[in-house]
Amino acid sequence: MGLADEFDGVAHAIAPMLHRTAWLLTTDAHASEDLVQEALARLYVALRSRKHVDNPPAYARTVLVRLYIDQRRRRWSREVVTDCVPETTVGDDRAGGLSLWSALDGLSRDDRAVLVLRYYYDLSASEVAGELQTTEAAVRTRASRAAARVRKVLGPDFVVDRRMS
Amino acid sequence: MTTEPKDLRGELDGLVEARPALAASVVEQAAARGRARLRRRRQMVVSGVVGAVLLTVASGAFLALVPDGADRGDGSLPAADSDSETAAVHGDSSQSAARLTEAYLEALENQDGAGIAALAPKQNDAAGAANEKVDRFGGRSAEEAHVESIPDFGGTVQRVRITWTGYSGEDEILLVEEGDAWHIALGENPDPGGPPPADTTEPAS
Repeated sequence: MGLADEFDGVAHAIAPMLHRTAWLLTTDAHASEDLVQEALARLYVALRSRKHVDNPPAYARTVLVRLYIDQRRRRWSREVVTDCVPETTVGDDRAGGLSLWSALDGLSRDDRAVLVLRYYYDLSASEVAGELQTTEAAVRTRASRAAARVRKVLGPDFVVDRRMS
Repeated sequence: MTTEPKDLRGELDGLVEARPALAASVVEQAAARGRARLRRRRQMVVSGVVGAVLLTVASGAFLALVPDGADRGDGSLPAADSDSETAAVHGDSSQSAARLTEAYLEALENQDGAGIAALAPKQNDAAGAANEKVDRFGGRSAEEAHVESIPDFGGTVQRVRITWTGYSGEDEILLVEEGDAWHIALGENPDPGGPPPADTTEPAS
């Protein structure tokens, strides 16, 4: 199997996972698609340039999350075009998705990345720290801050971590 | 009537379900972007080699203008060989540096692990490995290949100096670490203010 075939196979297999991650990080169709494309482009270069990438899905996801955080450092501006106002009444079932959307948008990029990796992918604090090149203590602090923010928007009964309940 | 409190994981799942479809062409576009990036990287290195060759030719022309026995301005005595031979040695060195660079790029493209390791010396025996590679691709015998880290740059820059058996010339190659990859920077020293910020978005594989 050639390099191009190898990349195509891997990329098509992991693109949905990358898209889910990007969507949770940005909730923006164009931004998430661009993140997926850039992460895959870097995976392509890595596969062509190195002996092997041990775990392509994990590699690509790490690249994607770091790119997302890095965009803040590069001061890329991003406008969210939406036809609905995200601020909704706390506890409104009909607007649950929007409330979560609002809660996520209120987080810093680092906090949001921690939240997604910790609570959507169930990674340990140690694993998140490795992925974001930070310390476990920083991950715990960010996770706690993100959870507090989510509860503030979605209500005190909202369960952030089933493992803790 | 009581309802079970909502949990974050469930809400995130719901949000994921509501995401728009991913464009079918994203993989093809990513591959095209990756190919373009590799091509640009190759062009940049080749440009560096061309610049080094031009500099060498210019310095060789200058030496050719200096009469035998004259002070060359650098405090050194005139070489025993003729000026034309000196210029030829410099030219050969640059050409072999170009061949070395091409070999490195070829190793990268072919995923030649041994070749990459030889020219991206991260191992303790890098000097020996680089020497073998230089010998193999340089078309003549490399006497020594010294690998030294430049500490001011936190180990992110390594200098490989190659001397040749029977030649007075010496090639110097700077390997600059970017993330987990090494790139050859020819013909220029790193900015004294420090290397450009490393791209930390790519994890170690």
